[in-house]
This record gives sequence, structure tokens and C-alpha cells, in this order.
Amino acid sequence: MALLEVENLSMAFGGLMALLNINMQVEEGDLIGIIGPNGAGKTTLFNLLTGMYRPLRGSIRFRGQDIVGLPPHKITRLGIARTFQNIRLFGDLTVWDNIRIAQHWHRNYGLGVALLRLPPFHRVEEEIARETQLLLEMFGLEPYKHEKARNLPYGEQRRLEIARALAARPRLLLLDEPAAGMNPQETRELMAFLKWLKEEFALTLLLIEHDMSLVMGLCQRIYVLDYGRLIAVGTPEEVQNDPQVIEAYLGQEVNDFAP
Amino acid sequence: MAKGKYIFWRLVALLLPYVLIQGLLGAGLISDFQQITLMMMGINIILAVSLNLIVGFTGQLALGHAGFMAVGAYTAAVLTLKIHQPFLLSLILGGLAASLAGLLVGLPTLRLKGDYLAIATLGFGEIIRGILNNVEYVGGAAGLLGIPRLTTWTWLYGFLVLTLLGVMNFVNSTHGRACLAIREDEIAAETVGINTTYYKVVAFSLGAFFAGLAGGLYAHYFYLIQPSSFSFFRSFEVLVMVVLGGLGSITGSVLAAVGITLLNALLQDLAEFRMIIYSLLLILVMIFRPQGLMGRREWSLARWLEKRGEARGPAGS
Repeated sequence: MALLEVENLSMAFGGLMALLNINMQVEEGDLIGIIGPNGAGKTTLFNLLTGMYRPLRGSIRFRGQDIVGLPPHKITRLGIARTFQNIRLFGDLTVWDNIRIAQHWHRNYGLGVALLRLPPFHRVEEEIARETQLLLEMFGLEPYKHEKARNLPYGEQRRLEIARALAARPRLLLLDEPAAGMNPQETRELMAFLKWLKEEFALTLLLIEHDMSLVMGLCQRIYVLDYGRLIAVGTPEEVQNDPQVIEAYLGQEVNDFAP
Repeated sequence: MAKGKYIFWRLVALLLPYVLIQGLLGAGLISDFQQITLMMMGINIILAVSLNLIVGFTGQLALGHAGFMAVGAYTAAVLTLKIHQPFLLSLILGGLAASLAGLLVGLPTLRLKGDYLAIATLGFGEIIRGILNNVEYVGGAAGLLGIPRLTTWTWLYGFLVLTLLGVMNFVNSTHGRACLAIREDEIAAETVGINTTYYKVVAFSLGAFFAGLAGGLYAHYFYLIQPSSFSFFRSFEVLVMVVLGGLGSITGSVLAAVGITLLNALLQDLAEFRMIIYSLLLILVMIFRPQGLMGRREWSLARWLEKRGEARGPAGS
């Protein structure tokens, strides 16, 4: 059974078809890239997978369960977490709190325990603190733990957002343009980091990316979207040599940079 | 710092205001007017802290706190006056009734994003007043008279401490942090697995519960409650306290509630100007200290003791 199965997924905003009949098959442990020009529907796809939008048609099955119509928090609890293109942290809260909050659904106690500070409170809070510390150390964010999230340097904010997504214990992690705003050196580091992440947390990764070096160097399989349509699927080599892709995407870029 | 010492100071901080004022009351050193101010202070603190839970910590603008106060006040008053139930039970049932009203208003509106809650709660406050004005059983516009004066300084202080502890415990728990997350970014909160509608409703009805308690205490101090005591102006007054003290600071709400109550007492003879002064105060705060008196900071006994210890010499001595 595939981890994620998407069938004939379509989405429209008003009269505009944002996505049309998308089919996807993601196996456990895959590292998959989603590329396409701006406005191709990549982020819309993520919003559908995480329940933020309800699709017009089609089905999404995660670990065999139909998740269409479930609210986002329930989908997260089933094991899909994400980051956002324009980072969404809890800006005025500390780095520490950002990570603590994301453990909410799997490490908790009742409302009564909270109001009366009954013994389970201290036990669970200790567990939360331990995991938070561990995650911050793993992601090199320990020195910032008392900082407000909004005051972190850009790269650290991106890393914090990923760490926060992991604190919610996903099996499938969706990354929306993790390399945005990074220079080539940082992008290379990110590549190594993502490989490590995938192994360390036994994750399946789905990433939207504009940086071709990253996608081509990292992903086993690539889905290419253009105007809401899936125009190609395959290995980096296959996709790179696909005439439709070259025309829609790579071709454009080559022309842009031609002397 | 030794834990025993901390607990000792905590008890001192907790009991000192109570013992002090109880002593002064016993010695007859507090005038009736001062006593009224003192009781209003306590009631206003409960109102401000509970509204802060909704507006400051969860980020949901609610404009009907007086409505919840009214539900609590009338419920508790009817229970003691007409059905002769014990005071404590009546107060708690008053709080629960307010919280139920909160649930009824909150459930449909809190699923929506944006300003719906502000409008719905504004309407709710006025509807409650409209209903109370027209129900003969509770005296209509003339109000309920002859409510037994059961609210003493001891009762008030007890509930004040309970409210503060309850709200502080809530805010510093996974549940309170879920509310903070909603305030910061509702979409991000959902995507880390937080049921945002649930937590907005929890914060809202918990805030309403404490407002209902405050209403019950109010009713049993002033003998008389009228629908006009719970107008929009009271909701606004409480909101001013919350904004003035700092959205998201319990300490700030306490300070602002004390300050505004004192101001009210001083301006007793200029009651018509109160709204003007509030408005000016708000404008000044927005210009010079938009985050409010305390911002989101809290005063903490442990931190205070630590600093004090450092100032005196090596810690642990």
C-alpha cells in the first residue's frame, strides 16, 4: 500500500482551474520533488493535501484512509506535517515554545489537570521539555531557545519551522520551497541537511522547489506541474529530457539566460 | 533558592493583602466608600483577567463581557434570593450559566475567522440586557432588589485568588499554549495539530465562567442589580483595562483594573466625563505605549526573590 495516493484531484478558484486531474503515488521513504512555474498549482496541491482547502473532485488517501474533508489538525494527527513558503512561525513566542506547542496533540493532559496542576502536569511537561531540548540540539537551535521566533535570522527561522513540523511527529513531511532565499552554498548545505533529516526521522519527503540544482540532485522522482496540469513524472533525467517540460519550464529558463 | 523558602514567600504574597485589609476592616479604618472601591477592584480584576484570556491570550476580540457578568449575576441572585440556595453553590452555578451562554455564542461564531465574534458578542450583550429588561420575574428594568449581602472581603479575595491561579495555570499549560499559538498564527496552529475551534471555545467559555463569578459577587455586594448595570459601557471599561494593562499579561490586567477602579472612584462626581477620559487614556496608550503597561511580561515571585537574593549576596545563603 502506498503511503499517499492522490487520484483525479481537481481544484478551482472561481472559474479558474488551479489543479486538474492530478494523480500521485508516494511510497514510504520516497523523496519527491514538485516543480513548475509560478502559479502552476504547487502550493495549492499542498493546501489540498493538508486539508486547508477542500478539493473540487478527486480523492486523497493517506495510509489507506480517505482524508478529503478532514480538518487540517486531524490530518496532522494522521501523520502529515508541512512548512510554508512564507514561513509561519509563532513569531512572538520563544523558539522553545514554538517546539513545545507542536507536541500538543501527542503529549498532553486534561483541562482539569491543567487548571488544578495535578501530578500528571509535571510529568508530561518534563517529557515535553526533554523532547524540545533534544530537537533544538539536533537542529542547532539550542543557542536561540529563549529568543522570540521572529528575531531569528532567516535561515534559522526556516530550520525552526522544520523542527516544529517534526515535533508534530509526521511520517510525511511537505516542504514548500525550503531553499527560497538561500545562496548556492546554503542550498548545498540544505541538501545534506534534508538527506540527514529523511534518514534520522524515517520520513517521506515531498518538496516544492524552484532551485533546480537542489531538486535534480536530491529527488528520486519529480512531478512537473504547469497551469494546474501534471505534465510529466519521472526521474530527474527523464524529466529534464521531456520535451513538454523543456517547453513549459526549463526551456523558458534556458532562453531567459541565453546571451 | 530553597524550595521551602519559596513556598513560604508565596504564602506570604498570597495572604498578606488579605490579612492586611481584613485587619483594617476589623479595626474600622476603612470607610464605606473605600470599601466599595476595594470590592469593585476585586471584581474588576476578575473581569479584566478573564477577558484577557479571550482577547489577550487567544486573540479573539470579544465585546460582550458585561453580558456574561449579567448572566452570572442574575443566575446567582435568583438562586439565593428566590430559591434560597447557599451562596457558594449559587455563585458557581452563576459562573456555569455564563459559561454555557459563552458556549452558545462561541460555537457558531468562533469557527469563523475575522470580526464575527466581536459583532456577535456585542449583540449578545445587548440581547441579554433586552431580555432582562422584559422579564418580570427578575424585576424588568427596575432590576432585582434585596439580594442578600453575602459578598464579604473574604469571599471576594478567595475567588480572586482562585481566578488568578486558574488563569495562570491554564495559560502556562499545553492548553494555554495552544491558545497562544492561535493568537500568533491560526493556520500554523492547525497544521501542528491543534484543534483551533475547540480551543477558542474553551478560552471563551472559561473567560465567561469567571465573568459570571464576578457578576455573582457583584450582585451579592450591592443588594441591587439592574439591566443597565451591565451595559456595553461596562464591557468597554473591562476592555480598556485589558488593553491598558497589556494584551496577554495577567499582571498588567491586575494593575490596570486597580488603576481604573481608583480613577472611577476619584471621578465619582464627574461620571459623565468618564468615557471621555477612558477614550483619551486609550489614545495616549496607543501613541506612547501600544503594547500596554506590561506588554506581555509578568511579574514573578520566583524571579523577584532571585534578584533580591543576588542583591544581598551569593545565592543559597
